Amino acid sequence: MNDARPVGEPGPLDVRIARKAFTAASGERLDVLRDLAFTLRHSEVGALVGPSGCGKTTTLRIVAGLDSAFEGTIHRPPAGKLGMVFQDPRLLPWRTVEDNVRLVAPNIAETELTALFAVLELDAHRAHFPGELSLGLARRVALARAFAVEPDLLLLDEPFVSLDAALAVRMRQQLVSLVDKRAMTTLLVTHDLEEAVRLADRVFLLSARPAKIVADIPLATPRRLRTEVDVAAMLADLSRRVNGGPAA
Amino acid sequence: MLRLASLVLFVAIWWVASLFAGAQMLPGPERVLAKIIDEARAGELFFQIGVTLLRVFFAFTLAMVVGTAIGLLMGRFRLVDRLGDPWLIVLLNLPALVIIVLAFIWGGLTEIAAVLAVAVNKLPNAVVTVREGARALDAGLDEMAQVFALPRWKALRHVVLPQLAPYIAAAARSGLSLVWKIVLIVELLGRPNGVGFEIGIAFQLFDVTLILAYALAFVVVILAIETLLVQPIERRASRWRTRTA
Repeated sequence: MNDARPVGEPGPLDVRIARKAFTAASGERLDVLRDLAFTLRHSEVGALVGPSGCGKTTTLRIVAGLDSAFEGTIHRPPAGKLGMVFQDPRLLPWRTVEDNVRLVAPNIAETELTALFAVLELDAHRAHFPGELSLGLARRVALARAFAVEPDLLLLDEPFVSLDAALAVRMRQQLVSLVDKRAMTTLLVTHDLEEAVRLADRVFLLSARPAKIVADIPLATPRRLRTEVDVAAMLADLSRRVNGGPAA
Repeated sequence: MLRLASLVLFVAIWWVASLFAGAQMLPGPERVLAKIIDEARAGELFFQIGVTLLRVFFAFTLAMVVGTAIGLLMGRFRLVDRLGDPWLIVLLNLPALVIIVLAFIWGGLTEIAAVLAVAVNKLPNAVVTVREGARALDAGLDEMAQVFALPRWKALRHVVLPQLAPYIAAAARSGLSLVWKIVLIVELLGRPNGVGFEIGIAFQLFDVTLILAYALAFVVVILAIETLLVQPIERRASRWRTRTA
């Protein structure tokens, strides 16, 4: 039962993974995910948070339809156009920044593209090749590419990992402004609690391997209205839950 | 500048050697040049080289297109690779002469048989090189193309082929030199014209001047194609690479 295709009925992103296993080089079967299930409403932003190596990226790849060797079902939003930002930028080195974006979004209007590049501060780099960009810039191009297709489902795999803190903060703000512009269901994978609190409407805490959801936490105040005090309070609450280690 | 000096040195050695060997065995550069001008005036030179170039063009194009397709399939699908590998090894090691003679026997002394014989000789070389490239394709970029639902031809053209470009260029390079060599043998054995045919005649007449005249004219044409066509294309294909020097 490897049903990873989108189903015709309108609705949320519904993920039910009964089991996902890898076979190690030694031949032994290793369960990565076990009974991992969650639902994300239309236009909601969800964050999968968990320790390194717990299977977050695996989950995201299954949702993206890149991995169909699992037991369970995935229902993606109907007619779902997919946009994804991988952990590494995955740009085509032989195409300029602009041509990388246009490749996946050939019909994008010039005004939209200009606006997108403006928000992500990429105007000056349109004609550059990826080999000429820093990692932070390349990450932003990957973001631009994902937004350019006007996705119904946006998947982000630790998009800001290994960037310096100041840049990560700026990019987070850029991401929030883009997500708020257009209703799209967004699933974010991160190990950074603060990132989750600042970006998400709902946080899913994952256990260690084999991963399952140990807590489904809606963040009450809408993202736009969250003050620094709210963020701090949510963060404290989340940290307590993570470190308290609620029994699975 | 250094290349020019090296060329001058070559001509000088040739000239000195011709003094020792005698005009019959090794005619000097001036006699060969005079012969080239003679043949060019008669129109013979351009016709024969033109005919040979046409054969090279068709055989090369055929071998590259088919070879790239097969190499890509073999590199991407294990089943195809395992099925095709024994064939490839046979073709790689089969002497060119066997393929040429069989082509003429089965296809008659025709233009199609000649071009096919050359193409088949070059084919395994292209397959092996492109297969290596297809094995090294970036899985991450494939996934990117899949996630963003790029149509198949678009993914092939913009994601896969550019990754294969260096391998295709290498196959073209080594393949072109192979094709030059084999075309002449094919012409010698079964065609009534072309540089190979001309050299065959000169061999029977023991006319070393004529042999060298055609060989030299041919080399000049190859060098021209290399500098004016192959190298600019390679430069353009790799302009996105950041310069290191």
